Amino acid sequence: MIRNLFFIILLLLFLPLSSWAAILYLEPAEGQYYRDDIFIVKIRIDTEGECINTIKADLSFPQDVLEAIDFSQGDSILALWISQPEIDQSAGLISFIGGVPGGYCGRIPGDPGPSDLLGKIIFKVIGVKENSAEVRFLDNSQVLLNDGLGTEATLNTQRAVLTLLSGISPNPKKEWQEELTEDTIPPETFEVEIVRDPGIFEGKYFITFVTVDKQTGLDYFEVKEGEGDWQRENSPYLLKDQNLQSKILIKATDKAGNKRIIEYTPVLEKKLSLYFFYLYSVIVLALLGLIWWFIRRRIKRQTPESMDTTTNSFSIDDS
Amino acid sequence: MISWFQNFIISLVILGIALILILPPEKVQADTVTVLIQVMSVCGDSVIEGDEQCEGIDLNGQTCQSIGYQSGDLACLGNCTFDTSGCVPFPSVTSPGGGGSHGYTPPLSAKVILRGRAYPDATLNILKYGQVIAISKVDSFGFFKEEIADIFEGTYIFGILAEDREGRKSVVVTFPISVLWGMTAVIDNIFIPPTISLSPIQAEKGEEIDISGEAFPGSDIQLFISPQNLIKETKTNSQGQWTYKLDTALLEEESYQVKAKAFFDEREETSFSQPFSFYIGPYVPLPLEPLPPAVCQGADLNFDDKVNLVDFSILLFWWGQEKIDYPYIDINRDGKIDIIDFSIMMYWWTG
Repeated sequence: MIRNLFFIILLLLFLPLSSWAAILYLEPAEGQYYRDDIFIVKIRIDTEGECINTIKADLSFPQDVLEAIDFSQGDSILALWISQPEIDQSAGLISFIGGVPGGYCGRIPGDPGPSDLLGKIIFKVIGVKENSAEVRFLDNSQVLLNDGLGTEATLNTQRAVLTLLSGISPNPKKEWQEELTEDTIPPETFEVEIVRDPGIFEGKYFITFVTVDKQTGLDYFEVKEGEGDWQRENSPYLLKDQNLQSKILIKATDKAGNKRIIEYTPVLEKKLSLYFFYLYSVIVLALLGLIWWFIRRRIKRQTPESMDTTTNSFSIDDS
Repeated sequence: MISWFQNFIISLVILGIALILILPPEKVQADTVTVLIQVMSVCGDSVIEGDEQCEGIDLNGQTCQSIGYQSGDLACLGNCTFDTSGCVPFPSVTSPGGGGSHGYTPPLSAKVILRGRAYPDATLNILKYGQVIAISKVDSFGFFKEEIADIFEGTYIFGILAEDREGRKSVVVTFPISVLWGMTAVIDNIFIPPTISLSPIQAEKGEEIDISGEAFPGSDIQLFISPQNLIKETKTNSQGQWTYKLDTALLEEESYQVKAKAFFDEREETSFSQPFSFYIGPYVPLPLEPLPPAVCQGADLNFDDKVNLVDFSILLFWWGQEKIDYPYIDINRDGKIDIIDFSIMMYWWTG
């Protein structure tokens, strides 16, 4: 009885701490893998009723038994990545900072999916020196509330403990390859904006672009200006042709190699603008000419002496 | 003698040259150029590209079942879309309504319908992952319905930003949803938070401060004033407009923040509006050249009254740089550029 009471008191003491705290967790939380298995660990969030908008995640993994071969942003709720996912294999670290414009307040009742994925780490088992491998969030991971102040949310994290088995698997796991094979859908269509702002690139023209890939995730962007070559670039991209005379192509490629190309032709826009400018000029000038003609004609009619000096054509008109 | 026609032609040429010299072609181009998008896909080339669902006999791995039908044979039409005439649909299913729940009507195409209440004749910006994908109008009673069609399977975050008749903007409200092929997801009973503005932002003790905004007609409005945690109440009129005259006689001389929430039918409530600050105390002249409008609390880095990808690009450009030459980039003015600045930008996002 006293023991039960003790546990109830303990539970009540810790209850306020555990509520209203975002939880970063990994899925699967446990699993069994053989050498050369390739598997996916999903990073998820439970906001516990809070509205959040920024996540800074730093994770560690044992680099001598696991190789982080890739990171997928596919189907992530994070739309903007101020710091792209980085894998430091030698240190066994993975880090990223991403945000949700307008915030994320957790799953809505009735949603058929969890809608809480932040990213996917693709691991390969490269050794089984130890019986288990732990993937965990580091203490400097942060989740910020969507309150306009950047207030840090109370954060709980949950690790994944993976059991590494000796021997060779009869059916090696190839989860990532399977996802890549199934993905035949290109990244989503996106908009490109050409801007210049004194805040960056010394006020020169640059382009901004962003897109997502719902399946395996976006891999990289390439930009091609005019007759130039495709080059791997990121947004914001400083245009080489500051006269905006070159056609711009932006190619988004996902992890499975599906591509989406967006074309923008500022030259065409410029020529159209010029066309309308010249058309407008001619119309204005024609109107001015007509007004001038009417005024001259009126003045001549009101001045009888001038009739003496008029040409024959005037006499004919007058008759 | 030069005829009137010759005069006209000469004048035309002179004026044309003058105009061309005054307005060189570079100045015709605006700073922000309209985007022209082309998806490079060709139906009939045996390669599934762009928004094509299929090509000839290549069904992209889909079957009637995978796109939400019960059974049958899927085929491909000449325009590279699925021919579902051979598919057998499921019987209709309707899920219960209620605050922010989803109803599913399988299985025509993957689309999302947003339905709810805002302010009469407000303008709605519909966002997908923070980018504006549609602009629509709320009806004169304050109701709206927006359909987003042709979306891929996956998790999406849709957002809505409302702008009332006075040009005041709401906060962005977001809705995460996992969409499956063939699904129509209805996000129902959306209740857009009120807009808010106040004047003056600096008042002497005893002076009244007018706080106003718009919400769904018939809503009760609660104003939360911090740091004193005061709650004041008012009501919208039939047009959705609300006002409250705050008597500052009982307030201490200090800075305050006010935000509003709307309640309807004693069961439904919105999230908070944006917070607005005001100061009670002796009149202090404002700087002659104040910083650009604090509407977006500094997250609008290029001062175009929007917080969008351009502002994010500017933040991204300076992110991690040691030497910062742009004074506005430190959004919360704490002397460093970090994830707090990024979080503030996410909060004030307008798309």
